[in-house]
Amino acid sequence: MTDLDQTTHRLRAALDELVADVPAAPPHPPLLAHPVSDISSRHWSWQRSVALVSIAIAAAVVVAAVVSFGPRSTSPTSATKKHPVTPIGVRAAPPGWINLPLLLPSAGVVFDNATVATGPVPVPSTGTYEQVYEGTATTNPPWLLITTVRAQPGAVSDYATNSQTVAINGTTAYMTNFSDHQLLWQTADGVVVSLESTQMIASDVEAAAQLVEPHPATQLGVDLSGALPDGLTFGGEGFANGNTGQNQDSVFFHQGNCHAYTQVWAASAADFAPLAIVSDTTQIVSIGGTRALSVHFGSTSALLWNEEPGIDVRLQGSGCDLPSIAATLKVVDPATWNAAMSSLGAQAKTYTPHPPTTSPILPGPGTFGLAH
Amino acid sequence: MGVQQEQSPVTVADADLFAAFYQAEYSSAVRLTRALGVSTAASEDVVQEAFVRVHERFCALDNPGGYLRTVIVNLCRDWHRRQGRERRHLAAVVLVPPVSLGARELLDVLARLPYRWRTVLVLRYWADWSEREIATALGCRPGTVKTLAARGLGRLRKELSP
Repeated sequence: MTDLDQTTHRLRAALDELVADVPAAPPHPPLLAHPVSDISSRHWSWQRSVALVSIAIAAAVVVAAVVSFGPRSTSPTSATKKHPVTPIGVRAAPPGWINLPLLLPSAGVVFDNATVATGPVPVPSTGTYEQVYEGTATTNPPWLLITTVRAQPGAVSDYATNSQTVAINGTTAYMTNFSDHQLLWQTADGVVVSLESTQMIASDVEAAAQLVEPHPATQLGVDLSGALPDGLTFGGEGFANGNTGQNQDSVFFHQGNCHAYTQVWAASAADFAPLAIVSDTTQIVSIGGTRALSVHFGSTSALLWNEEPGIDVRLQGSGCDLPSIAATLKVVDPATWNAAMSSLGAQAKTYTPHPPTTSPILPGPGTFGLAH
Repeated sequence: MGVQQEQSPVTVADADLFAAFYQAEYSSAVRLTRALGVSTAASEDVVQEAFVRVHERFCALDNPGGYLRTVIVNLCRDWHRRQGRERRHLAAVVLVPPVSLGARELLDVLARLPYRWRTVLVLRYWADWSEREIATALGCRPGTVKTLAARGLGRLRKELSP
């Protein structure tokens, strides 16, 4: 038996073993499990099932979709601009901290209670930091996701054996193809930088990587030193998977039978994905020109969007016309905010944010796992 | 495998045909999905989605089995792409089917190959597809399939050699 025969024989045997326990087909396709005579219910069932699958597909792509929400007002719009996490609002925040916008619904609602930070909140720094850039084509637009994460030295060394090596600003980077391209490298102070592309050729991904200036490991994030290829423009940025539990303001209010609340927090739109997956229905809607994720859980509905880069808003309630309320939300000055909070008396709870105390989980060698 | 027309209404007879088609193709569809590297937990979902897509144009297909398999190849590619992104957001719990040590070694090497290499090897040497069928499913030329198969086998031999 030749080497070729041996390898293919072993491949066939291994795959046969892998799929040996595949079950037989269920008695009926789940979508056809209705009386044959009832063709109308069969049609209904198929439409409903296709809709359910569509929802599943929508949930699956929602990570990409929500990360790319256009910023509402003050965000950069060109890839030539730099995108550090900068203080937002009227007060300057120290490095590593961020001001949450003071967001209130318009007059006509009754404030019930609130939990608000007394000042800037720490930027979550134990997760990953992401920026997304996208092309303008309406079908199959190019798409680039830049991610940074702290990692142990040598976190990407395993990629040396199965990847093409590329020099990025004096550092060895690894290009993997599946069939889109991903470029990975680690900076001197331990930050792993990943460029994950869709509909881009390898040389354009490499050209984009040459523009990336990673921030120090203590901050995470990247700047760009020029315009990206393929006409890619900035789509959004933020932190994901970090310890963001306390980094938020919540304001509860009601108007008639509508009971709702807003949450404003420092995080990434990618954090919306789990919500979308567990909701009954998921839609992308437009709120005053801003793309928002609309989800429903029984009688409760929620809208989520990027208010500004790195800042997410959730408006959730029962018995409400949420899009109308969302349209009236506005960022107010500190005096208006303080007056609204004062009106709540003891119902307004404040907390003083502290830097996250959890130790970052640093991916080690061979565990970074971005590519296949 | 071609589509004769865009959409046709589904009749009772069509539904019975589809049910028979589902019975006949389900297990092999799940096996193909698993062989293309999709996790045990996700493979049945992928197959279910593939059948839904086939159903949308079932009446217009002259080779629904071929169409189903092409859809599966594409859905598996999408699944692998999503995995790359989701791994950063979710702690993945992957159920690995119990296989022998030798098979596991080969499957590990297979999993590290680029998706197109892996797909070509699985379709050519396990599922016995022709190079032309693989080229159609992957949207490339038969010559490319031949090249990918040679590279994939070469990598397998190199990685598995003592």
